[in-house]
Amino acid sequence: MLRTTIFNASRSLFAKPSAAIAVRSYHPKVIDHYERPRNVGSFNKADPFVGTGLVGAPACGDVMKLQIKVDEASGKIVDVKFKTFGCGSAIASSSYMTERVRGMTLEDAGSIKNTEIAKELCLPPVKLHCSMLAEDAIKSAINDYKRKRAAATASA
Amino acid sequence: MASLITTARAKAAQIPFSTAMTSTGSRPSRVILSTAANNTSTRNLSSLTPPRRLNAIMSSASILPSSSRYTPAAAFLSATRTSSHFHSSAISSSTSNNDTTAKRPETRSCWKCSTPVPYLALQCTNPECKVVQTLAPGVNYFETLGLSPEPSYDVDLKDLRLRFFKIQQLIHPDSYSQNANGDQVYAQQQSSLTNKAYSTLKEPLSRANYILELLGAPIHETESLNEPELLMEVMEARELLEEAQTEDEVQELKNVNDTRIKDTVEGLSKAFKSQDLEQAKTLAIELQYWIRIQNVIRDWVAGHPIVADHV
Repeated sequence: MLRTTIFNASRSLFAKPSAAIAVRSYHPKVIDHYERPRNVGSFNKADPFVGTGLVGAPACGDVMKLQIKVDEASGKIVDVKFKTFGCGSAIASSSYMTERVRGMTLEDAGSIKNTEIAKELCLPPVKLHCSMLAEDAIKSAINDYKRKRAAATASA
Repeated sequence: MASLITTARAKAAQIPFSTAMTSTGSRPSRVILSTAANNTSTRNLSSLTPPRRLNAIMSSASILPSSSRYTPAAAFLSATRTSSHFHSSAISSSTSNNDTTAKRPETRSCWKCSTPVPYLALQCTNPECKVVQTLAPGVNYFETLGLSPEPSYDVDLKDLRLRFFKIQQLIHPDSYSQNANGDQVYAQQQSSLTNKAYSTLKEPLSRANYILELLGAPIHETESLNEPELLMEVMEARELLEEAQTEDEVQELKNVNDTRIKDTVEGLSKAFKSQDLEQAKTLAIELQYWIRIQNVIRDWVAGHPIVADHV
């Protein structure tokens, strides 16, 4: 019973009924990430081993922060956090991205394409830009980390 | 091309409601001092205008296509106008928007009685016919509300609202529910277009986006924003809002955000006036973020977490 209520509640949240046309709702995978977002939070931006990516979608006003913690010796991403203010798709895209890049090398993480995210979350064409935002976010975080490391090595 | 006279239904004879129009066919380089006094009529919304007055106006319009001369009719109209002011649009008139309007014919034929009616007329000017006209192609929202076709960011909201009501009064579908003349569907279309035009132009954000679109510089969905300062401010504002516990805290954040909105709207006005489209676009993007925060503040309820704030 409770389950049904929650289900119905979440349906009403995500379904945007439009006049006489069919109701469009999010794919269950998106709803799952939205309701149980993985790795929400923040790292200290000043940490020398943390890279921060902050990106926005000008058309809809979404903002997404994605942070990676990198193990310098192995060059792998050991921890990831994100914070997104935006629609369900944007939250789901960034949440999925944090799961996807954990344990990856920077190079592998940087080569993830938005189409992969969109496919995994079954995003409709109008929501493709949300997955692009997640791709931009991880790239931006990696660049930030690399910049920091380069600066640190230069001053060392 | 002619300009527009609208009349309130009941007061048609006494107080014509003039929507000052510039003639779309006029020289594009002309700076439009768009007050009723300088313009004769364009779109005849009024089957209700007494035919004699209408004839006078129509003929003066056709004699003076660039409508820069003082006419008694125009003087009368301007005298009845309230304080609404029209800004001479600083937007370059050599935009694609104008190019299309320049090629527009002055009249169309009424779909029912074939009388030539002004291109933007809502109703047939033949007093025997008066049916609601089909949607005129290639008309922007400013024209739909009887304003100059050249987009201007500075709109008089009171005036805009009045225009909206006057038009809806003429073509509201409820008045055509019997469909006696077969024009009910056109009334619906005209009414719906007027709603769209009004709701787009009355909000500072949608108005900015619409003008950018008209001027060929729209904000694309696929664009990504890499402005760390703005994004940091947005992120911080959103986090403060997320952490807020009391109404007072939210009120404080609202005050800060209201100032942001005010400043950005002022900046947009300046940018559009000086034809700085790049700056206008940047500010429109900023405004999008502040408006989103405004919406979240509006929907804020103590103790309820903020979920996805739009679909």
